[in-house]
Amino acid sequence: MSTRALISRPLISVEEYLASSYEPDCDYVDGHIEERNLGEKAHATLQLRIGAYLLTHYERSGAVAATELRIRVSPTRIRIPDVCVFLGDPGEEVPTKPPYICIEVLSPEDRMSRVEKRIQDFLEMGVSYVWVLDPQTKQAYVATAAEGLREVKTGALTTANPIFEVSLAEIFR
Amino acid sequence: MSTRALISRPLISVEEYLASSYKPDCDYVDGHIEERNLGERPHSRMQGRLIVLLNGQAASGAEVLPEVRVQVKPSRFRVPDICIAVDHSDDPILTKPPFLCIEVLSPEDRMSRIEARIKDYLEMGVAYVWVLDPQTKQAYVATAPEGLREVKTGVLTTANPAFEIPLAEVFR
Repeated sequence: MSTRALISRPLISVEEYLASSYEPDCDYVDGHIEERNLGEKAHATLQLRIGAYLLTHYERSGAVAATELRIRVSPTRIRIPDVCVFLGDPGEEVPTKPPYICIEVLSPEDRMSRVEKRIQDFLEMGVSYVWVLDPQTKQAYVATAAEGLREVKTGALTTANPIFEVSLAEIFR
Repeated sequence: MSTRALISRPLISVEEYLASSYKPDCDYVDGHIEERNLGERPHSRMQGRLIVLLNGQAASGAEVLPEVRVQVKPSRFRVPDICIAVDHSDDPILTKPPFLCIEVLSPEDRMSRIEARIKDYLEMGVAYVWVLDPQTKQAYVATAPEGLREVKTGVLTTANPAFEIPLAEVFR
């Protein structure tokens, strides 16, 4: 049995979570606060690089890219993708409208089951594309509702309608 | 920095690893012993179910082996939860690539560790790697040309030899 299963913490309300700040910020999952793995150089550098790339290439066409924005994926869940992209201004401070792309940068300690659950939450909310990037192995994955998770073997992260294209050589350099 | 990075353990030789037994058995990665996450009921249950399903379809010459040491490189040994050997050998350790390696995930399995294991198998020449998550009931297939892909057809398949395992049977 894992240590996590032995620790019982009191549940907190959505309102309490929304009125709190955490350093670094945490996900809120059905009353529980879930820490996110980040803070390592490889994670920070890749997060900045892909955010900068998206801003540089797609902001002029109306895309809004944000880092670590709280997204209300369901009434009782708030997830914080490392980077997300909206097609236009999402309006709300904590958007309830699905981003077009959510990007997760992996840390060495990220459990696969936790990554799967985050992807599932984004796709069920209506996010079109989830990109998962591993700075250690320089592997990239795309998840969509129709195809599930797939490793990118073409050398570029792409979307359709509208088209975004990010060369892996650019971000993993 | 992770705790792992702070702990320095003496390296052990391939010979010492091969002469040792661990409970449960461990991987050997370039002088380091790497523990595997297992021992929980969903993991164990799925492993048992897969062995039965695969054995039912294994043609002569294909051998279903749980937790056997596979020498993926001169300095690396991995212990897949299940593998299918087609080498017609009685050697205690597999030194030729199995046809299929299967990893059943535990909640504590890090994605980076799974990626490293898959890479080792594919680079050795393993044709198919299956990754199954009993928690989320998701399944993945990795091959050298296509990388890792989630199975959305409801069936895990291989070709030559053919295996066809419905996910509904595995995740029931």
